[in-house]
Amino acid sequence: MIELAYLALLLVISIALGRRILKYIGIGFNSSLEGMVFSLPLGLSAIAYAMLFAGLLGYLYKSVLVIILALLYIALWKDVGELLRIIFSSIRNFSFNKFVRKHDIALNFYSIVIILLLLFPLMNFFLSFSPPWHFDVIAYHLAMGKIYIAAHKVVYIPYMLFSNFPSLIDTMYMVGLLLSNGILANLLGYSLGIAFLASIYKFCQRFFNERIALLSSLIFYSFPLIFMLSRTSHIDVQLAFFVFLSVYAICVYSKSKDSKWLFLSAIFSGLGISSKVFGAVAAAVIFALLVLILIRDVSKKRMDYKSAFAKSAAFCIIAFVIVMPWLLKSYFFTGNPVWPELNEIFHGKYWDEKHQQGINVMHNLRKPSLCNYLRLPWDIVTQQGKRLGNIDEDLEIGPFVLAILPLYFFVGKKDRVINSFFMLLFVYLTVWFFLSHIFRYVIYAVPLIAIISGYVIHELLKINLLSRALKLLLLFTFGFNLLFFIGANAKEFPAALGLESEDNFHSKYPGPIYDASKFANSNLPESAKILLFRDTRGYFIDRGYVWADPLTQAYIDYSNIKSEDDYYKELKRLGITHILVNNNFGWRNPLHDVITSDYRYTPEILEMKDRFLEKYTRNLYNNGDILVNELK
Amino acid sequence: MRKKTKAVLMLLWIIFFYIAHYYFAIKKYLPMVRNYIPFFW
Repeated sequence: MIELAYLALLLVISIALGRRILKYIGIGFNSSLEGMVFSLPLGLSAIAYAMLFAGLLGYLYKSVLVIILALLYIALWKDVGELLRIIFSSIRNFSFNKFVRKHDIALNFYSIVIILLLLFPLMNFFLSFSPPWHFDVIAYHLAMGKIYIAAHKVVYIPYMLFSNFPSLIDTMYMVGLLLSNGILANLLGYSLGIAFLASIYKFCQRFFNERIALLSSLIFYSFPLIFMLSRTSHIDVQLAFFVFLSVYAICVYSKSKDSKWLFLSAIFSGLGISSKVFGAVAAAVIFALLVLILIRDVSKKRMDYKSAFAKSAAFCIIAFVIVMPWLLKSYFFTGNPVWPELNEIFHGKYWDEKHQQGINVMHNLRKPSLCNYLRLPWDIVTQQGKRLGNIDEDLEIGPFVLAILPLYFFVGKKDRVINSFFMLLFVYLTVWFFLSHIFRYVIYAVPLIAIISGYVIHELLKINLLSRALKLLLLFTFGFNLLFFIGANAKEFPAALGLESEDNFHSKYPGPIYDASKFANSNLPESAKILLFRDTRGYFIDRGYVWADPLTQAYIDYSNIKSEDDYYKELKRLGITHILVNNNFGWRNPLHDVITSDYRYTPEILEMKDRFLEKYTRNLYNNGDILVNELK
Repeated sequence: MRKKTKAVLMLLWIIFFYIAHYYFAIKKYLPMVRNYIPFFW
């Protein structure tokens, strides 16, 4: 429960810091909640940047973080006081009768929407207390931060591909780890997810009406893709949040012509790029939207060419300044500011053309044909394109893309914001088509789908013939998603509610790798350095480790290793003392349904590994799936 | 097009894609439910 206290502290200071920054920029909001929705990610990002700089300078200590938070609290005590006054007066002034009258609460459809809108986030709140165990989280999102904290410094991790990408949200999670543990990191991710939900609500309230706000918010948060990812220490939902805030700000700028909203949009575009490389795609599209708005204003003589140019330049410069620390970090560690991209120009460390091709194949199994492009909406709705590599089999977002979105063109009332959302959606999905088959990588399209759906459904519900049937269908969707939520998360509730110990939970999830890590921590010397072969989940290991993955690292260059003797020499050169082998883990290629691939653990490498283990190692641990061997 | 016809066609459109989505979704999840595996990751 200490995590809750730390969370409250971090949230209050972040929102106060964000509010101060926004006050300094001079932005006014329609309501306190709208202000908080922008303040929280801004303040939390500022704290993350502060710890990034502290880490680069070698001051990554809990005491330093506490001092920074204390200094911020002192500097912002008036803002903190004002914030707490707003929160307590909102609670004090809340009148249930007024709420019932305002939202027309009775036994009706919208009452059920409100109940579900409270239920999904509430259940996710409890689930946030489940210890982190998902693959990407314990492979790098939290594992990276743990390595930095152990070294008290942000260090170069040459074998961990993702550590050299912009990783703002992972740095926020590092703050959570430094202050407490992985659960606090989960709670930070959850909090940003709730702020995201609130931002969709406030956006729709500002541009449409209350009912569209309720519908869009629930449609969004009840997507399995969203509610499953928004309470774990992944970064996708949080990336989509930053991108959405940038879109939000651009829409307000388009209406109000207040340049400060343009600057705010640029800030969040920069924060989006700083969160994940794919954020750059979203930022480029938002910039293109801005240019269209400026061209329209120039053509209608609302501004001159010089102002339009200055505003577009300001957007780019602000976004660039926000991203710059990550470019400098990457340049300092690898010699390439945009590592591993453009490595043929910058010649950054530990990467080459072969690895880049392998990563490109991993990210995009899709053949870029017209047929595959036209079937994209069908594949998003049914995921049937997974056998063609047109989409991955991942969490989905329901039938809305085809069932509801096309009906916009047949409802009476059109809206400029919805028109621009369709344009954004079209461009996002088209660009994604050429870059990746993984639907999560275009997650910033999802809030647009939810808002368009909310708008269209609101119009359709005015048609008497449709109204009852549509409400039943929507309730079916929400009920199905609720059942899925319970089924998918049932295994985590005991640990989340404290009814199961963390140790017991981890023995099942993720299972063998946790037990093997425990063995390593209890039996291997402090100076041990472990090679992780056919697994990358080092979060539970309290010793040094290196990824052996031929695809995602070139630190160990398999093109130079022809035999087990070469492998032994190379591992000895790198100071590796032990090897952990996961014999049961494979990355399944959906096109060929095989464990290995020609760009990852090839049959030759696996056979070489077997000979290496026999000739040069001694087995210390074997749990059936995982071996831990000591190098001779 | 008459309003009633338009409304019926829109409803049929929605129902068609609902059936498409949930047919494949249930086909995906049913084996997991049958094995009593709290499914997914």
